[in-house]
Amino acid sequence: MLHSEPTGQGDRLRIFLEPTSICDGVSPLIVNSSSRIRPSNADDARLTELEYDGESAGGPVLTLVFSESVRFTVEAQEADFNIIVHVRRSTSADLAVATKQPAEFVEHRQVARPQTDAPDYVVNLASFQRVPTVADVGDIEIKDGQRVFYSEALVNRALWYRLRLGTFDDAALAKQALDAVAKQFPGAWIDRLESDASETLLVSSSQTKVQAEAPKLDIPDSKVDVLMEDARRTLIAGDTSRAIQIYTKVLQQPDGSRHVDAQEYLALAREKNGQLAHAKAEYQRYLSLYPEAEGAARVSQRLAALLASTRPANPEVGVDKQQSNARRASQSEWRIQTYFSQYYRRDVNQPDERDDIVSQSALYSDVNFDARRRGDRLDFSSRISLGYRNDFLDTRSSTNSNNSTRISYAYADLADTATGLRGRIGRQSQNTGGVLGRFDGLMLGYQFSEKLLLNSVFGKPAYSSSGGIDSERTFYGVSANYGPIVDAIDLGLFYIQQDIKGIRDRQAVGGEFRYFGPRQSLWGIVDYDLHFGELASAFLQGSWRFDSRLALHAMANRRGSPFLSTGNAIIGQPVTSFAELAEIFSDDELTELGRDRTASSTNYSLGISYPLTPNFQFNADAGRSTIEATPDSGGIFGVPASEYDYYSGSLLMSSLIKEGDVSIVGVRYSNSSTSKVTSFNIDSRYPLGRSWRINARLRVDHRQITSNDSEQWLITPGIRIFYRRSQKFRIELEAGKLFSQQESTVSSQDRESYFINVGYQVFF
Amino acid sequence: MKYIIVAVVLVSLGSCGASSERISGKLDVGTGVTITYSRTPMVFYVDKSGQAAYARNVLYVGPLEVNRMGRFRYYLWLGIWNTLQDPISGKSRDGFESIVIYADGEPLPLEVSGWSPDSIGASEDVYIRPVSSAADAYYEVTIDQLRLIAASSDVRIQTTGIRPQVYEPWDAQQSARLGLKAFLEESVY
Repeated sequence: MLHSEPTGQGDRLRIFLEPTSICDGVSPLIVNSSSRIRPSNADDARLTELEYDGESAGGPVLTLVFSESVRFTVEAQEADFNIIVHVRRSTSADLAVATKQPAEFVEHRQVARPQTDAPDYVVNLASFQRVPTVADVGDIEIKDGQRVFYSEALVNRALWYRLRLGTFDDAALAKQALDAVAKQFPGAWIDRLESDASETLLVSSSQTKVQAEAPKLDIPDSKVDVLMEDARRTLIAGDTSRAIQIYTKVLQQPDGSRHVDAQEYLALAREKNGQLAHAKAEYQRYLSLYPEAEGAARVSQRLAALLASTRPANPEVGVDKQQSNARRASQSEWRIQTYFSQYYRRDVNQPDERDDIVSQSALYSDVNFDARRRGDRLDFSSRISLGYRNDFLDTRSSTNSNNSTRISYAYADLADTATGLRGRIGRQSQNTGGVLGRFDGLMLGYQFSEKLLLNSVFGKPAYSSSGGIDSERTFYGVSANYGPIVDAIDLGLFYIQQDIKGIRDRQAVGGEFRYFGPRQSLWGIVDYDLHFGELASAFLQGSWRFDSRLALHAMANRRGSPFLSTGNAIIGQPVTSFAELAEIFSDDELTELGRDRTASSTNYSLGISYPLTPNFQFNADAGRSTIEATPDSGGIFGVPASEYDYYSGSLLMSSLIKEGDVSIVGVRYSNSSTSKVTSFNIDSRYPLGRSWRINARLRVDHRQITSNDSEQWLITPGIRIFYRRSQKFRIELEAGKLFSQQESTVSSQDRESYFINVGYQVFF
Repeated sequence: MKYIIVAVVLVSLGSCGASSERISGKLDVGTGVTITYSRTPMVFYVDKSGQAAYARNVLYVGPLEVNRMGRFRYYLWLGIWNTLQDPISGKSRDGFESIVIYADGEPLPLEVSGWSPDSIGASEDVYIRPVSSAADAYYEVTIDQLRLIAASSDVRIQTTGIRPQVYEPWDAQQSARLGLKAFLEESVY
């Protein structure tokens, strides 16, 4: 039981229930059922009706209806899920007290009321956590003298809008109305109207839909306001032609106070009316007349979406199946999208009294091609994502700069919409099913049902995008994903096996779950290696927001570093391939060496975030990382254990100077076995107009290096400038400088360096 | 005083809580707007397995409808979680000033409206961030753009800037997809 209302006394008692996880042989669906009984032998308790509503918007509720006001207490027995209600008849003195001092006894409407001749029964059609509209009313019959309206109710601290039909002189008439609307509103129930409750009319018996979606304060007070309100109601009601007429009329009014809005809504109405060419022209007119208006960005997006949706080969926009099929029929052409970017990066070190040393001078070029063809049944897509690093430095004098090519993605994908089968071949990426990121291979998926997805995967891992196809490792795996379960839980299970040169590299089973609740989230992943007989990785992350708006975040992560596998045996060995190592050691020895080279790493973190005001937010984190020692084996020295702790706090300030700006001030302290570092950071971002953004930064670090008993100051100012010339073209410049001063008992060293990144991106 | 006891045995209203609510709504008492949102955000990631196994950057993405006096605005919220970034650094926001959402290959360029709830007219967070150091970002969208995203089988998000990153959808997000669908069905605009 969650709670009951009212407290102490009333003619109706509502008990709000919380479903348990114990079904006890009863169908789980019983929780969603509704029933109403008149109990026998309950006259002494004045109990006339018991009603259970499992589909109430506020959660399952049990209502006890009494023939007169009674006093009661509610007792929940958690152990066996019983609820005991003690009832006693109210005395006249009780009623007098209740009438004079209702606050002591009641929270809501169930106060004992003086009798009134006014009709006071209503049918509660449905409840929403948004403002109801006339569209929610549907086509129910509204008899003379009746109306549909909504009122507000606070249930369990949540605001609900109750859509109601009424009023009725007595319960029998209300019951007739309830039966009449039961098909359209199966969760409807009868209630009594509070005399002091505010209500907002939606539809009256004259069938004049007087939608008043906005609160009562939003009363139009000029002619154009009246017209705008009328147009909005008409648009929402679906009469777009009429809305177009009214918005056009607003634009013809000499009072231009609402012209901006009217122009936008006129375009929207034309779009909804299927007049896409007219809509496009109206959107363009808006942007021409009001380029700096608040809604300009929104209108730009609508126009972009409209233009995209009217292209010959546009993907389906709606979710209606018939529309989708109709669109598919007209979408048989290829569609190709390209992204291209180039960035120049230059890093220069400036040591004491010596010439500058250029450590990087390179041009990074990236290109991405997407090709897609959507057919009646088969959807084909492919993607190639390439990068090239052109190093301008003389490679003879640089040890770490070389030209290189990266292939992040190169795959073809075919999906059969009729059967739910899907296949993807080539270089791709996956992070579930035990797959550790990028791989070259084949993925086959089958959407068995709306909730169940089956996958199989076969391939070779590609741990680096600049590397070729791995010639030594091969894996295969199967996985199943199921969800949602109980509102919002997604589950996944997997099995995967990977071999390296015929030797078992890893063999794992595991699972994943994700849950998102109204105030909390929880995400967990576990990977257990059957070959090694130990946990390869485990990850758990959760968040919880309290009524006070304080949010608590926690995370635990344990994994091997690098990830546990037999192939780790090659680390430190003077060989170039695992095959060479396999000629020296036996399979069991390689497995043991792989385990020895894998350090177990554990991270914990705990954080809070709290909004001080809408513009100020405080965040704090604390964390600990440990890496366990590895032993000496196979001629390789082990690595000692290490620990690292950190504590940080930051204040986020937004819209201080102008809307859209943000500044973050943070302090951090970290402590490891080799150093203690205190850091201060400030990062400010300001939009300038619609095209420019400036980001200024400053970071100051103070390091106490325990290994050589020295101190170091690092000061790093920086700036980023971002310019968006159009939606398809952007330019960015980033530059920064580092001032370093290191002092020890025997020496001191000043050092400076700077970097510049500049480049552009284009979509076509 | 005579007491009568009514015992109501609730036999296992169990497990059972198969409520179909995939969207939530709240009245922001600070600003008076009503906000509707999907209970389950979508999850996107960038693979960082080259730096550390299971290392990744994560994006939570959720739709928002903001109703201010009957005027509706739609936004996408991004919860940006950079697993390898210093928590006090603002760098996790780099590249998120402009993003491009590819919905079945269709590019939808979006500009950030702001980095805090006040940019959408709210006084407090709507979605819960994955970690306290995660950054919020809000992008105004149209309902048609949301419909396009919901109807697409392949969605990814690309950041801009010096080091653009492409976030791929986490596999099998049925709850998030159903949440987005329910959100769109509830939409009146």
